[in-house]
Amino acid sequence: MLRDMDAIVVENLKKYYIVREGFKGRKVVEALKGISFSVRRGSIHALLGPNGAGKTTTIKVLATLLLPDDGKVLVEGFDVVKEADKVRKRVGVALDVSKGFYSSISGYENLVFYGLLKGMDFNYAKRRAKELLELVGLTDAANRPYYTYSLGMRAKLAIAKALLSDPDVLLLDEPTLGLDVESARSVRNLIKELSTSGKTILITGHNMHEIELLADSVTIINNGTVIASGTPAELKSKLGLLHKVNLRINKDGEEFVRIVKDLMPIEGISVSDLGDSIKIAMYIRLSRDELIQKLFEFLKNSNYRVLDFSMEEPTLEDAYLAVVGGTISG
Amino acid sequence: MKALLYRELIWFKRFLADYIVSWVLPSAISFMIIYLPVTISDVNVVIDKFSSIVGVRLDITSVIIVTLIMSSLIPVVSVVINDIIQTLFSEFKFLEVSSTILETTTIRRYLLANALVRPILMTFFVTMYLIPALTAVLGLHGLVVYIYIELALQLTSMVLGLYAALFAMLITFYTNISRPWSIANSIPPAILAGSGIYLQAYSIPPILRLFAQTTPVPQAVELIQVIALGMSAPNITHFLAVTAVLLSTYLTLTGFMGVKTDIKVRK
Ligand SMILES: Nc1ncnc2c1ncn2[C@@H]1O[C@H](COP(=O)(O)OP(=O)(O)OP(=O)(O)O)[C@@H](O)[C@H]1O
Ligand SMILES: [Mg+2]
Repeated sequence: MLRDMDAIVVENLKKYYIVREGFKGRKVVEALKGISFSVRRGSIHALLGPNGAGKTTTIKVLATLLLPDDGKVLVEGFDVVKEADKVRKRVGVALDVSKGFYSSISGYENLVFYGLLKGMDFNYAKRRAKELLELVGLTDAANRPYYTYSLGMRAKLAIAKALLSDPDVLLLDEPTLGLDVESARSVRNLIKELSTSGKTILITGHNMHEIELLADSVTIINNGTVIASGTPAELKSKLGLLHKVNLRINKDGEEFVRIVKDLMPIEGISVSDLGDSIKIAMYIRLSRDELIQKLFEFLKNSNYRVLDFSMEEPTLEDAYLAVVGGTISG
Repeated sequence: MKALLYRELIWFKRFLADYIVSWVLPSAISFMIIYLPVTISDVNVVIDKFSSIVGVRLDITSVIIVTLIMSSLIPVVSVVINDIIQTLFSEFKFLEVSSTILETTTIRRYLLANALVRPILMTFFVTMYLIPALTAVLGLHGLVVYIYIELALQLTSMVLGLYAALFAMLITFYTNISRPWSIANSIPPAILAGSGIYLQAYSIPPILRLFAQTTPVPQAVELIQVIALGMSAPNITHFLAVTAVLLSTYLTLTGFMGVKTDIKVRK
């Protein structure tokens, strides 16, 4: 079955919050209005969306912290409602990295406590706690009480906690929030390594550059519904975003432009004569594949000589803004 | 279970001073409450007073023993109840460790473990002073008495732990109370007074006695008096029966409420 490939399956997930307003008033917030996505085992999947989109809510449902109101959610084939215990054994969660620990006891003690809660034996929990503190670079602070930790240190400890039980599935809600450049990078490398070693990772975040470096696939949600999904490349090409093509040819700029304009949907073009050659910059609304095919076919059958060529990809950020904001940048 | 034991020990290490204050001080105070009459009035008056509470004419050693042991009951009741309620409340309302607990286990399991592990440890620590005290007064026989008392207190405190867990759940998850200690602080005196530890129980308003009668503390008080009076083979069936009934009732109730609460919290 195809499903066996997926470590996480979310089908038509709905979640409502009931918010009290004033003394008697009640309001229902539809945080998730029936979202579906799945994550292939061993891959890194990113959940993107603006603030309040429902990313954290989704992670909480997957981590069994919240009960879904409707829909089916499976982690490693286990239902998060009916087989919550089995799910808990298999996932590691880092949520809201700035809290979740007893503030008066040390990071090390917090980790050991957590390990024991997860049912590890005492010696193993102690060993794992030490290993992970070293992995995230907190060995020096291991024995200081948690309340003395900086935000970044707390984030690192939260990641250590998520990894403590060596889970198959990692749910990381904005794991690099508050980390300095170097730490964020080492966390990214760590996430990559973990995925290579076969772990399935679901990550959220607002740093598109970071997500683009990490994610194998992406689901973009807004207002509790999925508005786009696929690999970063698919997303970008599906949207038919603008590609910027820079060319340097040997002759006849004017004519080149005329022909190309008939051939492709050009949004903007500029030609400058460099004396011995002509420089052309074009914005073309076509997927990367189509663009390259059309352009190269035309060049092959013409007698232009191409002296230089470069093409600028739209970034994931462009794609994200295009779907979320309904506008296209560039 | 292991996790909670570990946390207790860590907390114990970290808050040694606090623990001394919160566990030893109540012992000392309760000790003084009971001995205070001695300092302001005649020894005989005190003996009379205690004799009237117990209902049997006592000699001075018995009074000392009864008061010694009774003064351990006071901190057991108050420490167990206060601690269970306040720990759960603060964990979920301002320590923000709730997700750590919820992502690893269920409320039911967590609460049951808490309601049993903590009272056992706390009762042990709170009553430790009885070992030297009783051996000082009674010699080796004092150790035997200590073991009896300790067993009775442990059983009592387990029931109290579950009892407090129910209150803790109600306060933390079903109300908007922001000062749980005001409730936590008023339950133990009600239980103690209703159990006839200060005055004979019939002179206490029935509503207060209700608090006591839903715990095995009145039976524990009786038993302690009997043991303290030197009966070699005290009749413990009554105490055990009441404890067993209450223990199973509260285990079921806490378990059931735990499941309901677990669902509520994850809503
Ligand atoms: N405990 C709660 N009670 C009521 N409403 C909530 C609660 N938690 C979240 N919400 C609402 O649910 C919606 C989704 O919130 P969620 O935290 O999942 O967003 P998010 O995508 O993680 O946002 P961010 O990028 O800011 O972290 C929001 O409208 C939010 O106001
Ligand atoms: Mg969030």
